[in-house]
Amino acid sequence: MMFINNIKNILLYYDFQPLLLFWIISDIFNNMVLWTSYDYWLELGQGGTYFLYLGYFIASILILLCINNLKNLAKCVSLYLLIYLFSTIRYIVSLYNSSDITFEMMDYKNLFITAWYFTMWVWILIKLKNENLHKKLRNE
Amino acid sequence: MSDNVTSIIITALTLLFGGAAWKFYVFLIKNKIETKKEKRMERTIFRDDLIERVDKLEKDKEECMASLLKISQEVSELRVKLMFIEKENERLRDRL
Repeated sequence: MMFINNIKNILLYYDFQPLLLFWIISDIFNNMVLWTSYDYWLELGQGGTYFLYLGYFIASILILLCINNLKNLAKCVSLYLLIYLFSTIRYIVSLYNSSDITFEMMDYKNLFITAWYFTMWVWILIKLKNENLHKKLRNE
Repeated sequence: MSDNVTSIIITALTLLFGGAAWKFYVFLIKNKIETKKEKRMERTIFRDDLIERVDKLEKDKEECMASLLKISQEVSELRVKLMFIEKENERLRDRL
């Protein structure tokens, strides 16, 4: 019970910015735009995916640039979350619409990880917006 | 309908619901803060009234102290004057 309470306290009261900093830097270096070209994705028949990665790349750079400005950071994280939401939904829709729909263990794992990361981004955004909201209310 | 269009529609709907949920949360937080403020106001009305009264009394006390000082000064002056008059009176009486 104590363990769960401590985790609850971490989620509620601890700062998220160090996590965001490390995460976003790894995200930038992990972005496929840096390591592949548009032609590579065209050959795979997924030209749109390149632009999706480009969107992630721009959002990640913006998050890194605005890490000290909470107001703008909230907007950048919202943009990142929007792209994440879109790509997740696209992934689920493509899975749902594919003719040979056979869910394997890896599909479940991918869906779970995607949902988990989505929760993390939502948590970061809520913390940011909450902080901004309380600052605004204190100043009113 | 292509996958992309379906994805865009679902994303837009999710955003819409997310935005509405956030607005509702802001409404709840604002209400909570307002209630807290009102409760604090009720509790502080009596204290604020006391602070105001103490301020007024402090000001009055300073004015009284200043006038007391002035009166003491005048009394001292009069006492000295009286002493001289008494001496003068004695001197005149002796001469007579």
